[in-house]
Amino acid sequence: MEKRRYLLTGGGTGGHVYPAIAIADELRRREPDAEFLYVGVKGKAEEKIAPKRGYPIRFVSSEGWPGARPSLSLLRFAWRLGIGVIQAILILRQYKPHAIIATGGYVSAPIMLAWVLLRKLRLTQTKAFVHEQNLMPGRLNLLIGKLADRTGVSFEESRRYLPQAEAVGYPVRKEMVGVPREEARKRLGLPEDARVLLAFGGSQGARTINRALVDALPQLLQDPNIWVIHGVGRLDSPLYRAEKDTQDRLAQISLTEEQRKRYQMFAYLDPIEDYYAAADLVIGRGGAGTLTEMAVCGLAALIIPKANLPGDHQVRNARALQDGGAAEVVYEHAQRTNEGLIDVVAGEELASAVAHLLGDTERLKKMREAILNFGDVEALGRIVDRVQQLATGRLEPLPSRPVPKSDGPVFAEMTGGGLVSYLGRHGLKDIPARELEYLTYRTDGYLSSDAWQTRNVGVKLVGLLQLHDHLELILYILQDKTPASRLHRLLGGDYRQVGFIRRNAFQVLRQLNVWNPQVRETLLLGFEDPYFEVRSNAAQTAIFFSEQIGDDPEILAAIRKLMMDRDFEVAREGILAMGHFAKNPDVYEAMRALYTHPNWRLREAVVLAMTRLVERGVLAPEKVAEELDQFLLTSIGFAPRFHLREKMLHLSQTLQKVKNAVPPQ
Amino acid sequence: MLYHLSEYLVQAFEAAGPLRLVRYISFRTIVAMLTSFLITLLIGRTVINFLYRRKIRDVVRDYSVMSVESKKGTPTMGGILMILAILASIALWGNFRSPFLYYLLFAMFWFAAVGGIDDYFKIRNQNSDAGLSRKAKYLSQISYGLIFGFFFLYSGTTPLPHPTKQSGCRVKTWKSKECDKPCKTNADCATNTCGVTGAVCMQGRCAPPAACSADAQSKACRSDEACIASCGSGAYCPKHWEYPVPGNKVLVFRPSQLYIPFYKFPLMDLSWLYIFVIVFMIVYAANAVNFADGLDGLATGPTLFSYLVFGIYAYFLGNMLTARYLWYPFLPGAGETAVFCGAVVGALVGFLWFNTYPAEIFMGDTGSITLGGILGTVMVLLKQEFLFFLLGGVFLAELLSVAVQDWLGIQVLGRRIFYRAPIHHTFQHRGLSEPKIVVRFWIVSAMLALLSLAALKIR
Repeated sequence: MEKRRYLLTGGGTGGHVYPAIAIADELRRREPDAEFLYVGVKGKAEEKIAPKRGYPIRFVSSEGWPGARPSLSLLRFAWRLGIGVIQAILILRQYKPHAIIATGGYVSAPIMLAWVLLRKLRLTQTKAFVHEQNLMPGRLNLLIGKLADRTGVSFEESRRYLPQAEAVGYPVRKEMVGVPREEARKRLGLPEDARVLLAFGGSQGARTINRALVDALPQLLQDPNIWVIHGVGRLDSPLYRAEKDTQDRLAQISLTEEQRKRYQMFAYLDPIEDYYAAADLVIGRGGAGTLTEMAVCGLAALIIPKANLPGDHQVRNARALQDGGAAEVVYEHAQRTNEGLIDVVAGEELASAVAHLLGDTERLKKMREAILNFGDVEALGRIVDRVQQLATGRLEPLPSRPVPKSDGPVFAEMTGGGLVSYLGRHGLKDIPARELEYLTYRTDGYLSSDAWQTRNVGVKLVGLLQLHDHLELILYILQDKTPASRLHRLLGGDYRQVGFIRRNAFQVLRQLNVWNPQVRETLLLGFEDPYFEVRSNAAQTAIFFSEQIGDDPEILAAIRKLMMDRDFEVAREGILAMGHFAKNPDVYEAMRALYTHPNWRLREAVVLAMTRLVERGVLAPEKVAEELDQFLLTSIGFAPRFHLREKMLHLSQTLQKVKNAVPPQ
Repeated sequence: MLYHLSEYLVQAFEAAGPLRLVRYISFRTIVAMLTSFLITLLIGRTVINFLYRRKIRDVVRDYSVMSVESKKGTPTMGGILMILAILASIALWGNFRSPFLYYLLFAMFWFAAVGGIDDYFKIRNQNSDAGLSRKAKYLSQISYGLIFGFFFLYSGTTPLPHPTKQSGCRVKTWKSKECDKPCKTNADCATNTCGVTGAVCMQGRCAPPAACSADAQSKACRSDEACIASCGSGAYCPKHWEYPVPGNKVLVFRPSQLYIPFYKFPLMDLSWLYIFVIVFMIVYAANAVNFADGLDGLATGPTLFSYLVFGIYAYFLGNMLTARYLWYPFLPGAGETAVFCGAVVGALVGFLWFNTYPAEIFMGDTGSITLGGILGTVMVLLKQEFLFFLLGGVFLAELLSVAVQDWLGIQVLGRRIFYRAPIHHTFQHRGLSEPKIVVRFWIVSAMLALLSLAALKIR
């Protein structure tokens, strides 16, 4: 038999590399003389992992999709990918693999695009197997998954996006399973009867988990039986240096010598299977890889899913486990810190959740049993079967199967704008509490975004979801006077929290309908805002809260100033507000100047305000009657009346009335 | 058809002499205008009923909750009415030997197809967002621009004069001081006329011989000898298409030269790069009219004035005497564009009859994209592209307001810059009623049209 050649590609993060390695390991076990080549991008996770496991690696150039907007990064993307495809064509022509195993990520883009090209030109015999790990397939796999000879997905539900795919499961390395707990603990130097908590955020680490865990430590370690193992991750970017940040945070809390002994921190956990085996409870992210590993090993898990990922796949993975009683989920919340709004989990929240779980042995046992249902130990063998069948040309075509359907709205699949318009149309009724919790979490993700467009969606959602506990965040946004970039200011921008956000935030204040001294302060700020829509919305908000505001001289003075605003929209709202607030007949003076204002909509507002003032008994009817004559009554605006349509409407309504009156026989 | 018929009759029968009138562009422009106007009036009602019955409108779903103030349900795709009238009028009065006419008809069919398809999808799905995608629209306009630009610039097919085409006879030394002297009769010019014999006295000044001023100067000459024979001793046959400019100079005309209003000389010769100017102007014009089509009669008025002014330009540039008098390059045959513009103006007035507030019919993209596309073609053919920024100031305001609001304001800065965009919605928001805004826009565009006519002389 000829020696078979396999080409592995995929990566960028460990999440895409490990599945490829797992598949390759199993292939090598079955065909000891097969050749392997890993194709990746320099400087990414695969550069270290693949050679360490004994797979030669070659590099191509590639880059992540920067978005369809015309930009410099789009040009750079096209250039790098173009070069990468050419490199990949050369590699494919040289190496002539029997099969390609692609596990997703932009790293696999050059090879897969080159393969598609060669295949279309009938220049290659190579077969391609694509594996998607997550529930919601990535952009590249959505495209390539339709063209590959066989596409495997980890979840049956993923076939909603890739109907031609086969649900094969997630490949977990064989060594993962079956490490005895006692041996593992002995190797790691942990007491046999300790309650061991393992916390880690993947190979890179997760800021939320690291910070929350450190904050929770003093509370957790009070129990002398609890040991904590913490994998902080290798991330060392200017935005977040995992190890240093954690050290700094540790320095701020006080632990006794004995407690320090029970807390062990590592940059990364190797071999992970030992740590898994030793742990009673694991805190981790919701990526498909981590979850499947936990499931196969039968671990009790507390999941903190990462927000704002494509299709929100971590949340959906986590919730699938939660529904099966196999795991607990703790969501991140947006919180105001001196780094701006970021996603956090409060230390106390985490500590109490952990303490609760570790204290409930019965529950932990049930979770361990339940999670085993989600672990598919056969997956790796199944996937390798498919790859071998492909390479030898013996793979049977898939019979057509029905695509799974979802019932009801799937919020996780909606875009932010989609959520806003759905909630705007349907309101909050019929949304179960669990979905509300998820939507709150989505909102928090949006609120902590750097792009104002996304933050804006978050602000709107706060109002639509009636998130009263977010009032403080909304007020913070309205008080945030961080200037926009110089270029934006030159073009007419003002603050980082752009005009639309501030305008919508005032709408949210009305939707939340809470009045307190802080709201009052913010309202006063709003009257002075440089953007006209904010000022007019502040005036509307004042009218909305007029009962609570009552007799507030400061607000009255501010509204009086609004009446003279250079912007007619604001002046109009100011006049209307005056109708609600004025206490003295001296408002005449201000209004009299507007009797012949060129813009009739201001005159109209004066009339409305006066009506209101007379109703409230502020103005004497005789006095107002005298004033009427001074009004300029001509107006250049009117609403048409189409008589024919009126009669038609009448006819149609009559038809209905008659129909309703005579019950059908 | 009437043009060609009368031509035949005049040749064949002496009694048909008065029909010579049909040859004149001024006459044909005016009758084309009247014809298309009358046709729109005659078939207007029928077309409106036809469109309404074919459900080419927003369909009212529930009559018991409909608004009594809105015009929802007005038939759209009224551009068809105009296109029919223009076609009929041109069929009667057009000179089908003129290449200009084919360029304009091609533009009309292309853009009518684009606009028609767009409208069709919108109506079929009862959704104003379901038409052609923005990308498809721009692509269709750009590809038209490229095709048109190629034929316009390529020496073999351009309808305009080209250096490869020879111009008419020229008089060599017609220096102002010596030759252009004051006179009373032809006899005063007979002596010392810069070596030209047979000079004539015109409007108190000596001018080249009359024989040379007409046919011999406009038709391509064969040789210097032939020119001397028809124009006198100082005449010659130039190698290129030349036209005189002040300062006793001649310039070689090329279709790819860039002209701007209020300036006599071409800025530069862009050669093949000129195709980008053409594409830009075509896309700009088509979208300008499309965006302005937001209120009853809002697009109709300014478009009408634009066609009127370009028609007048076409008449002057296509006439050798007026072109020379105004120091424009003479564009033989361009007068046919005036006839076409006349037909469009007539159709627009007829359409306005039904379209004015409150509208009985909307033009739809079938109308607006077609009118804009033809307008873009007309200004390129007359080499007056940049006049449109002045003449179509209303369109410029509409487009700019949308660009500033949508791109700069809503996408980048996260705030409104105008209350609403396009700009006519800002006026509506400020409380102006629809007819008021529309008539004011007409007034503004009429004033801009006057300014643009002044640009004919002030250079």
